[in-house]
Amino acid sequence: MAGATAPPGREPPDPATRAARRAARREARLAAELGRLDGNRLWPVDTPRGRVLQKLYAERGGPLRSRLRDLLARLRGGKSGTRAAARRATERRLLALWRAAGLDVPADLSDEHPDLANARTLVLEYVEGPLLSHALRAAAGDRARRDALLTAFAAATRRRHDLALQRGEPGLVQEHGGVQHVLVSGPPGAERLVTFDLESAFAPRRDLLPLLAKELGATLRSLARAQGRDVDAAVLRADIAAFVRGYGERARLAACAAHYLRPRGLARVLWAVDRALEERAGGEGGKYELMALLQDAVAS
Amino acid sequence: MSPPATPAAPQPVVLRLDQLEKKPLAGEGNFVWKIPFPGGHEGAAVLKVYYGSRGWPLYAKKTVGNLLLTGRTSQMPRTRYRNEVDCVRLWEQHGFRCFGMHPEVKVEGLPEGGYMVFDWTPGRHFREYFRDASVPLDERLATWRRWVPEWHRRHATAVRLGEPRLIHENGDVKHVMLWQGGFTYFDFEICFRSRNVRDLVGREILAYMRSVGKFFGDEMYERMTDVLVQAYPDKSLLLSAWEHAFRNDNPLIRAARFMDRALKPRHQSRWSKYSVAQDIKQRLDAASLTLNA
Repeated sequence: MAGATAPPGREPPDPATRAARRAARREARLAAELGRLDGNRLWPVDTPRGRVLQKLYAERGGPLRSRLRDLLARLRGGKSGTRAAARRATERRLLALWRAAGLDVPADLSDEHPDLANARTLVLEYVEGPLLSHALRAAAGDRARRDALLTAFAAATRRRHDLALQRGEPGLVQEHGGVQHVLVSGPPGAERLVTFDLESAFAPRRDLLPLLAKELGATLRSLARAQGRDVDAAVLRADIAAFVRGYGERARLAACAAHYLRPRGLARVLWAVDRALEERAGGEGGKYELMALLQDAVAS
Repeated sequence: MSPPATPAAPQPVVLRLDQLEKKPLAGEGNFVWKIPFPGGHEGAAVLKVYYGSRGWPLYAKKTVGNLLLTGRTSQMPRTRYRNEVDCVRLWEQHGFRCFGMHPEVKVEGLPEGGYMVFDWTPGRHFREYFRDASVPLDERLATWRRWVPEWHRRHATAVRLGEPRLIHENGDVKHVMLWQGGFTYFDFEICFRSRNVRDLVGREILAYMRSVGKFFGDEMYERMTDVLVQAYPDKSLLLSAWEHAFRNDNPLIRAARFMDRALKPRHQSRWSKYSVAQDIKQRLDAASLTLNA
């Protein structure tokens, strides 16, 4: 994982070239977006009562693709709808649920801003601050800062998981979890970790452990991705160790890792295929590899 | 306790058309004259006669087109008179200033319900103001920035009430005026009838911005479009401009717009509604945190 090297005969591009390529890709993405409205838009809006965020829920893909994705999601079960209206309704419901549970998510201000909220939009609290993934990248060489951020994040995750298990509430498990969906707001030492992007939810089920395992898998992958293209294995291990310390409930983490790595029944076949595909694709920072690292960290 | 005082109705005033000193103001269509009017601004008023220079066959043809094809109200003179009077009252009821009307003024020699006397309003048309190089650029842009939220408020009110008459059918920079520190609107003879008011909002935004491009040139257009996207509060409503051109809810209309874009050469021009719609969308995308992440 560490020290990724370029294939023989190909020099890695210098930072200026990489930046130019990134800019070109962004330009191309924006140009391609001109002809369509794909996915959400998030616009900061200044109002007399302060800055808010207007979130527009748009369909993902064209009319056929968005309907097909929704149909497949419904047939497979397990998650809320993927159409724009369903995602808006899910986010509104989950924001209320999380806030009622005392979890830190942006406030839904739609009722206070009827001029900005409508059937396609929600008005949310504007939370100033970097993404946790960006804050981790900014603290690349600062182990103490990374540990502080990750233990706080893990402690908040654990509190939420406790509530989800106590109440049997799958809405408190983040379907789209990860450090890229958390904002770090406020001065160092008194930071809020604000989770956002709650537009998709798991469907109700009796056993929530598989859902926790999925969220943890996504979270660990986001930790690896937060390092950028070149993942430093030692840093990743230390990050996972910090997460385990902050989470505290080692038995639950071990059970989640075991669920991931040793599935039972039909899931075993499906996951074997998935794992083979992941290994074939390169496997660096793959969820199974990361879950094995989590298992090691829990055991150590 | 005495009943609340009601404003006294203005005394009727009778003018004779053949005795009026008339100065023509409009090019074609209606007869619009500046006339002497004691008590009016600069001692003048505007007499608008809805029976204009067009013949009946043209009125009838346009009426058929309006009613059957384009979703507008009739072109017939009395209907245009009624629409204008109703729209001015509706707009003023919601706090948008229009030319003051004088229904108490009777003009002998003109058919009843076919004319109206309006206040003479010597303000500055947007069309002249924004290309006047003697006004500092920052001042002009500040005026635009001040106007955009008022524009949005009208759009939001129209959508909330489902009221197509709050959308300016003939909306462009020729029909807004700077007057006494505020904005004044005019020309409401024809209205839309559709209840899809969001789409009408999109249409109106494109009409205004196209006229900005045509009258003020590329550089001013770019600046004013930037300010529009920054200052228009409801970005999702602003996006309705792009949706009007490219994403109509009705697949038939969407297909027709596709054909329209592909087949009509004038729609390839810089100030076509499609080009302007893409300019607005591009800025909205750039302002979105999702695409900037």
